[in-house]
Amino acid sequence: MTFDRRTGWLLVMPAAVLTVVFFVAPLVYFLRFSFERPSRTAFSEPVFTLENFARFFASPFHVGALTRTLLVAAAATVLALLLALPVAYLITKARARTKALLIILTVFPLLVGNVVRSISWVALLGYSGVINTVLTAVGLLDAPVELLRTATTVTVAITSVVLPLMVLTLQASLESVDPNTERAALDLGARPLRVFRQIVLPQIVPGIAAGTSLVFVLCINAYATPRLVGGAQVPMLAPVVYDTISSDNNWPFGASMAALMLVVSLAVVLLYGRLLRRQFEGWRVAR
Amino acid sequence: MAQLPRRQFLTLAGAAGATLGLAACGGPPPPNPGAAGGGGGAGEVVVGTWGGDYQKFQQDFVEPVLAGTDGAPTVVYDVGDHVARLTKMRTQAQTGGPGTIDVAAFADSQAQESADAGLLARIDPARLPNSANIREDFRNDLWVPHIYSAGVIIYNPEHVNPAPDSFEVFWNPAYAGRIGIQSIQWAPEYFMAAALEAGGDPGNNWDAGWQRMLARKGTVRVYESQEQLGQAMMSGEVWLAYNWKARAYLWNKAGQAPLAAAIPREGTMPVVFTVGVPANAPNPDGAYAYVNAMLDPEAQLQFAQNMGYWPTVTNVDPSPELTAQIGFTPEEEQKIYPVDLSYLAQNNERWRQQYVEQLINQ
Repeated sequence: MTFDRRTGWLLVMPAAVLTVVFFVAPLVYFLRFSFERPSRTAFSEPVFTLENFARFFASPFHVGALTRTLLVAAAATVLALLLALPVAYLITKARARTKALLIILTVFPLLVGNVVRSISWVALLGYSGVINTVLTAVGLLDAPVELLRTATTVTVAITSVVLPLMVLTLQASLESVDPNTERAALDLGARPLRVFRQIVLPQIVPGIAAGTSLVFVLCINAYATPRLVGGAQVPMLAPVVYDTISSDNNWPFGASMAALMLVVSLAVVLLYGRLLRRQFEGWRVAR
Repeated sequence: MAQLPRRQFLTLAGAAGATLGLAACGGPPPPNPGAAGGGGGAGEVVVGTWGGDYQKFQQDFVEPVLAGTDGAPTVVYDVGDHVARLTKMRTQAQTGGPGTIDVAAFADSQAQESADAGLLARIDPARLPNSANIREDFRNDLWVPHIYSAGVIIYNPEHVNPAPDSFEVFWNPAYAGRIGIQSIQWAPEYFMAAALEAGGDPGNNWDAGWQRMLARKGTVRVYESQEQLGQAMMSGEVWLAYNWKARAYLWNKAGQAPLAAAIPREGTMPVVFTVGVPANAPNPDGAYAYVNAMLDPEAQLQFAQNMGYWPTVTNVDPSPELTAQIGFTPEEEQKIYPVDLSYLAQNNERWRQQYVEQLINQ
């Protein structure tokens, strides 16, 4: 099944126009503040300056928040990929009725909203939460321990939020793999794991690239989960941007951080996508 | 003609579907009803306020008083924290035209910031009959005091012995890991360290205690809101906090842990929660009617009984029991130092950054 380019453009045009008018234009308008000076009486002082970026890179706190954000996003993306792959594969191989049920179960968490899911982590991991209560009751702990407010917990919580998206993206990609290629490999004596590694995996590289890119960008921009699970003790960039604008009324510095998030996200996704494709193409041709 | 392979199309469709799913579940919060059509229209007053109990009590105790007046407006609440509200008002003022908020609730230091930024209209006492009963020391041209409390050492007597009478208890190594602070409330922590440094009223030198404050890094547990800190105090997760006496009353009412309150010998700082009328309020008449209802003695008494904050008007007669729980004796009042709100407003941003970046950040 194929689409000609003109039909594709026509299909995309309404969404593209809406995106430019309601997303790109406001974003550009906001990002221009990053080159201006903070003001107590206005959004900003309209002078061209790079001071906000200089301040960012001179501040260990802000650079630390950026580094932490990237590391948490990368870890959550890898974790989500590893957890989603077998689930997506299972859904692909399931019979029609079971497949529908599995997809509903996968989508179900998305209906709840990530704020609610983050709060549930707090209920699980808090001082008086389920885990501390149970471990204390059975004698494994003398007193409750601090499980929240760590980068590890934030990573796990963000992973749980993005996992359904990764599963859905990989499942869509796995559906397009011709089962005959797997059957041929099995027929030639390859073990299932080798079939998956050498036959299936190379064919779903576009899906892996799309899924991990999507999830990585969502993780970088996560706000509710870091705020609720990590709090101020695990500063990540989106909450820091919000506080800078909301609490300090410092639009230029907030905009400069938003601009950096945008640039870093785009750069990482583009470079990573290119590297991944090149590596897998070489790997596939070699075999 | 260029072709899009089926596999790539399915992959992109899957990603798009996932993104749409995310947008459906993790999108922005519902629109602010107060913002519809440029704010309060005829007969509608938009009250910018905190969520939770404060808003609930406004609905329960202020609205009935308002409803009893002629031509009472319909009340719409625009809920958010006060720093976000201040930013919203600044933004609306900068863009010109009418705002969307008729009554803006602020803690006193943010009220001062709003006033300094020229965001508040001057209060006209002639349009606010109940303002005649406002305590003399709380009178102000730009905002109306609603409720009042002062900082106390809130402690759990089961774990904190002997009963503390000084801020020094917050530096006692015996209680490391059992002291609660909030990431969103830094001014009282600055006051405490500075008062300890000065051995009394720190005046306008709250930075004097900064090094002392930094020494607490790693000995405190950090919470993101009063509710979280309250939960931690009530569950025994932490045993000590410097917070408003009203909070001690509220947390005791919840009754999971016995909590006591003490005014430190160094003295303490007050907090007044206020309301102002934005200069660009679309319905100032409705705003005055609503604020007047907030100063009604019955509404004030209900706030005292239910929220633990002392009335700011003189025509309320709380019971002796309630007075003991949330009020202040004349001797205690002597230890509550007036705060230079302009000084707080000037330093707030710097203090917040220093506090979050150097003390709280792990």
